[in-house]
Amino acid sequence: MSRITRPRIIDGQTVDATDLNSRFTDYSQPAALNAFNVRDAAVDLGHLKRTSFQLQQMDQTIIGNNDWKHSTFNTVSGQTGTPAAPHIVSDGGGTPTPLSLGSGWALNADNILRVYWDLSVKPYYTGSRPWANVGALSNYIFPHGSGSGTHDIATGVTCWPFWLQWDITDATLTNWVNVTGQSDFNNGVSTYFGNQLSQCESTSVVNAFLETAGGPVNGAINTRLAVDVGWTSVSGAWHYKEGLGTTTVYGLRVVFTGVCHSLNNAGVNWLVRDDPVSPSARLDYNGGSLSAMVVRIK
Amino acid sequence: MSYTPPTTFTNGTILTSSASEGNLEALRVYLHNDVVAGDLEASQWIETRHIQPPEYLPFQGLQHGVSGYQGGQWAGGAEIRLTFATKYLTGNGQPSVNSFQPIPNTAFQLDIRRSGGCLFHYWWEMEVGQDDSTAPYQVAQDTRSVFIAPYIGSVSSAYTTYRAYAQEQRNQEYGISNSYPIGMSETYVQGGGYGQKQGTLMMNTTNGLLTFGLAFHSQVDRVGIVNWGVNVEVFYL
Repeated sequence: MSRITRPRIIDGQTVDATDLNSRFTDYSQPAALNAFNVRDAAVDLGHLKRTSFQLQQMDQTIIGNNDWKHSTFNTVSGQTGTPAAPHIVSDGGGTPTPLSLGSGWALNADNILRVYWDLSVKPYYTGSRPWANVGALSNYIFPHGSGSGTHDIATGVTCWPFWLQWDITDATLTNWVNVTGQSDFNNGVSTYFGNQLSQCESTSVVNAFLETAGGPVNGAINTRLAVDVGWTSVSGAWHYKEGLGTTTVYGLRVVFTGVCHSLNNAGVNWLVRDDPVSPSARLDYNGGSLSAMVVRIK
Repeated sequence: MSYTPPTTFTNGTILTSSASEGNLEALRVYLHNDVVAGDLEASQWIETRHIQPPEYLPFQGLQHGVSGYQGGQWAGGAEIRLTFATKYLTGNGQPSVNSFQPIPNTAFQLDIRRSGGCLFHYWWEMEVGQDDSTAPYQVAQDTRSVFIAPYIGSVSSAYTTYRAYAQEQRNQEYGISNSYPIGMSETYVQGGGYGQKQGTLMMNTTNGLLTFGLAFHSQVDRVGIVNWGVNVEVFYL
């Protein structure tokens, strides 16, 4: 293959199909990519007129009850049993705050969906030390430092799990399902309901409460102190690559349930709702952000 | 596979922009991903000197190329570039004050060469307080917080535009066992006074100088930001 040369098109000329086709098929010839046609005509930014080639889509929205100093906030309670529909992150009026993607973003084998979110939250509990309720997973027993008796204390594992849902049906945003790799914490295991860790691919957690041990001596403790977590934030990231098909995403939203605790059952790690504790668990939340982008990967 | 134009034009038919652009788009995709050995001249025809390397910006920790910027900077390891926030620059803990101040070391400015999309990633870990001060004009001890927000452009936009993105952490005294952490002899701080946070901020921008950074509003006297990272992706294409 030698140098590709075509005369410049001049205003007023008649479009000729043969000439027009040749301007494309020139690059269909074997060894067309050589010093003349590529190297010496080096490509730089000025040659690349098209926008949104690598970054195909990008959007972001504010989620939740946007009041950064917490003058007002939303409050929800822990959930028990099954099926427990997750709490949907909503504004101060109770209206969900999804990221709407308009007429939809097409995902295929050539691109990847990247999602990021964060939310201000305040986990706490009502009553007295609900993790000490009968049957709770969230309780742990230490020997007392005096040498006799025991001290029970929160394990520190109890949490509120947050995850992502998407609408891949239409732009009405009424067909929400969990994203790929994510389940809804309603799967039964032993006497509990939750997710295996393999079903938690978009999950992030935040502590439900804290209780610390004081004066530990050789595995025994002498005191304990329960404290609220206080206002903090939780965040997550999730990436998705479509297989051979095509999926169109019309919206994304953040949902959550709780409170949950780790469980190992028959060698499989789970995150399950701790029903004896959940009725006393509360979560206040304010605002945050939900971002998504589609990037070409090949 | 070799490049095959999706449309073959015929004399006497209408030439549409979509068909023409479709052929160009297919050529872009082909050059981006689908070139096979037979398409290339067999003998070596390109050398290192023919390739323009991306520009490396050592201070920002970024690379700049035809497609945009990628990279960032971070603390460099635990406590190596410790940075700070303090209530003494944001109203001494008065609840009515809303000012934000920049966090040292966490901002950089880029020369954006073409309109495009920006994704600003940031994360930090911090020790908040403890602040036991009792001056009555302050927010109560057990609800004092530090808020950290991103900004793109001026620092003032951390409040005016981006305060909804602020993430907070409470005064440490009320997050751990009511005393200072003393290493392994007490349960390590888990979620009360010690916070690891991360977030993202997206925007479309035009060419020109653009500043990315983090700012704080603190109601707590001493806040140590022991690790942090600020990273940006700018897509021209």
